Amino acid sequence: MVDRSKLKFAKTHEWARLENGAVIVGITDFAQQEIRDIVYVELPKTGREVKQGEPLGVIESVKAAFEIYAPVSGRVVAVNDHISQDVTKIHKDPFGEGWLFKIEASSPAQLEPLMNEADYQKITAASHR
Amino acid sequence: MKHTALYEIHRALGAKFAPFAGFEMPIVYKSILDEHRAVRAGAGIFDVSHMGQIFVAGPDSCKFLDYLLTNDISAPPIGSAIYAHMPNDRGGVIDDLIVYKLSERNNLLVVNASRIDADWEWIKKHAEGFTVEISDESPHYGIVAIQGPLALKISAQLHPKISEIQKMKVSVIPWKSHDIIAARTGYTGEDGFELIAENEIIAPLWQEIARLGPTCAGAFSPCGLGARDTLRLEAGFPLWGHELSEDITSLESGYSWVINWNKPSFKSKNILERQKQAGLSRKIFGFAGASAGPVPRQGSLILTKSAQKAGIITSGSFSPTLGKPIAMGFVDKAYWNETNFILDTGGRQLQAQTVKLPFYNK
Repeated sequence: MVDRSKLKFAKTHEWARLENGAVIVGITDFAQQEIRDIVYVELPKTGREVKQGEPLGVIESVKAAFEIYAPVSGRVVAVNDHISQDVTKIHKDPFGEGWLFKIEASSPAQLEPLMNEADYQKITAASHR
Repeated sequence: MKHTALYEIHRALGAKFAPFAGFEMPIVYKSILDEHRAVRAGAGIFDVSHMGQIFVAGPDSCKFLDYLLTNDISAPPIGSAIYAHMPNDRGGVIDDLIVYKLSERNNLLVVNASRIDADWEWIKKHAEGFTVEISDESPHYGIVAIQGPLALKISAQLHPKISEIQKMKVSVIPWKSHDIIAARTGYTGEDGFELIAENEIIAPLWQEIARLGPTCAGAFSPCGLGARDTLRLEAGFPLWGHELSEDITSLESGYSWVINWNKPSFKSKNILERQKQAGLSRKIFGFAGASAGPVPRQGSLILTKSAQKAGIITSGSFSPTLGKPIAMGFVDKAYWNETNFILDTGGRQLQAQTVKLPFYNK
């Protein structure tokens, strides 16, 4: 089980976790439930330089496409190739096996202003009637 | 926002809603993929009560519809369900619809929800000179569709007479002291029925089917409009606003069979005849992804390998049955002999090949 207290949450529904100097990124449980029926995922190439807030991937459901944004600036050092083989991993384990890519952050302090889980749950609860 | 008679039932089932043609409709209950597969493998029930019901009664009912519609309404026997297009003055399609021939003097038109007002205005405008009584009963009627290989087995338990209804036929069936207009029609590419009835009986009808469904060994699920769209796309059926519009003719949509050229006259017959003689400049093709890739959507560009624009996608989705992206779209005449294209969605590209429609044949 992933220790969710170590996760940081972006308002664009990515989670990020600092591990061994790299920031692991995925989409939240709320996001995978909202998107539903994921059928295709486009991940960035390893080595790509990104700025915080830049789109660097796409998740497609049967109905629509959703962009994934970089929670920190840096360089993509790994992508989860297992996802391309089995996109349902994002539904089954969004915080674990469903991770998308790792970024070597140029400034890990960029994670600081992101939300903790409790604050993130407040904004997602507000978006529901 | 309007609601169908089944709104509370959808809520209780946990449906995700979205606005559609002025109605708040269920798009999905749990999963579009699962709902789609239930219809291909077993059966699914759909609320399509947003669709419109226009009755055309009177001695000139068939004659009037023969004038308004592309297909022949007078000749087929009573109890026929006839798919037809209603052309405007330019040969474009005001709506595609099914005429249920209830009697020589009473035809029921089931029309697209988004086109009820346009249809009604058009029909009313042209009724003068015909002895017909027209009425828009859309607010008072609902439709429950049951579709899939198990649909017959489930529906037959509502009333034994339902199993006698042949494909593309309709019959009025008594049920709980009401009349149900039961038609063996659908929009999924599977066998099935569309049960048309007054609002007050729609919820009990849905509940009864929902009770019977799981007793037939096989997949069974309520299905939202999301699955309805992927099912119709696999079956190669056009959707108004996508493959059909007031600026697209029946010929261009690939549905020339809905035109009965033997009728002495019907609205815009001369225009359609001229287009047929002159030849088309664009027509609908089917496309399938060569592999997994970005899903083409309405408005995606159809490009040649040398990046020339060859046309535009009208509908696209991931095909749950084929496991890859599929799409339909207009291709300009100059490119009709090509088979390999790139479908470009905002710069994201899918290698695709033209395929014969439909994508799925049961």
